[in-house]
Amino acid sequence: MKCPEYKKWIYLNNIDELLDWEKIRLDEHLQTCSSCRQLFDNNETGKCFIQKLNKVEPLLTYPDKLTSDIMIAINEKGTYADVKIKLNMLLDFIISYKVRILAFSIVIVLISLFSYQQFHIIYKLDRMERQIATQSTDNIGSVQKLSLRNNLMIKELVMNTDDELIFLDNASIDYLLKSYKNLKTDHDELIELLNENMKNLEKKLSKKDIQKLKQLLKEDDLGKKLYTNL
Amino acid sequence: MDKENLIQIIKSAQRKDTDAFKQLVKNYQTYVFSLAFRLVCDEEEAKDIVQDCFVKVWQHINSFDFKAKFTTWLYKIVYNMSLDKIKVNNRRKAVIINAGNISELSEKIFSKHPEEDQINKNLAEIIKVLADKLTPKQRAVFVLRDLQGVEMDEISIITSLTKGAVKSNLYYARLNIRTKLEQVENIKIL
Repeated sequence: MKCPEYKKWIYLNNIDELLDWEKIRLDEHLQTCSSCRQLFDNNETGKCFIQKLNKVEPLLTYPDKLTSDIMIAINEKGTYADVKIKLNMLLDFIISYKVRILAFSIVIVLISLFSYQQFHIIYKLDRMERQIATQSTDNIGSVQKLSLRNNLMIKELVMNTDDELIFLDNASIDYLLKSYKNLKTDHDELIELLNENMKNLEKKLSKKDIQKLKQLLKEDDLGKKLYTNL
Repeated sequence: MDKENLIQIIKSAQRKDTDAFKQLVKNYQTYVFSLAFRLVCDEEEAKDIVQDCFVKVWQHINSFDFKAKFTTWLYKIVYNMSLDKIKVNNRRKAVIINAGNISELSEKIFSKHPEEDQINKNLAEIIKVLADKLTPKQRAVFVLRDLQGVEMDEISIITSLTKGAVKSNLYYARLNIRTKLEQVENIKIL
């Protein structure tokens, strides 16, 4: 190793960064090299100087006055500072981790409550609709009454047709009812009237259903069923 | 002041007990002044820093959580305040440095019976000369380690520098100071 590297070691030695074996090697070199020895001695002198300087404490004159000045400053700034501190504490509290979790939980609970309420309303409405659909039609307005009767009767009518629901429009069912009342005993005439309005019925019923309907009319079952439902 | 006693006093101060805080001030103002003086090299400015530092301590004492040493926390405040002052001073005035004075000043300051009223002046002059070419951080690390005797770990916390950065700053500071001392002939270490 050459002198420039030992010089680096001398400076590293200043910050206690040399390993033990490096120190030994440096010592060995210093015994043989006057230039490095000179640098090392200067460094040591500087080190001693700084160590001496370390022991010289600056003198604090009138410490009691300084203490009282500090206490006065605290009292003067205290009121304003206290408010500021409280605000800072409040701000710290607001943005603290726990409060954020709490706020997040509250939001989740509120969203859940709102969702439950919505679901509950929808459920209740659905139940009301079901109740309305199943309850007596006496309390319902005439148009709805027909519509409900329509559903109920046609359900009965199609029970024998693959259990499918068939809906007749109000006009058709009204027509069927009137026809039956006016021509209670004359089924043939009813069939005739049905045939006349077949185009209207064909829109709603399949051919198979119409045939079934005609069969029921012939057997007077339709009359009985309509009578029961009414 | 023992550790238990210090904890009690700090806790009282956190409850805004001014008497307890006064005790803290009395106990630590010399340390704070010492560091501030060595950093800014001016008695009046150092006193201002001490006062501002304790006002700040009073305002923020509740944020002291006993995880670090109280002196470390205190030194961090002083360090930040002094660093600001050093930067302002560096901009404001060009200090006339005469390296040749070190020898004479050191004789005065290291004598067995130094003139008390001259201690601060001479000490400030010496530090100014030595730290003249140092950056504020190098100066702070040098003062904390070599003049205040603060441990490396603590310096790292106080200055918010990594340990490597502290060592690097210290290396260059010492190198600079030793070079400066080499220029001074017949320096006497009494």
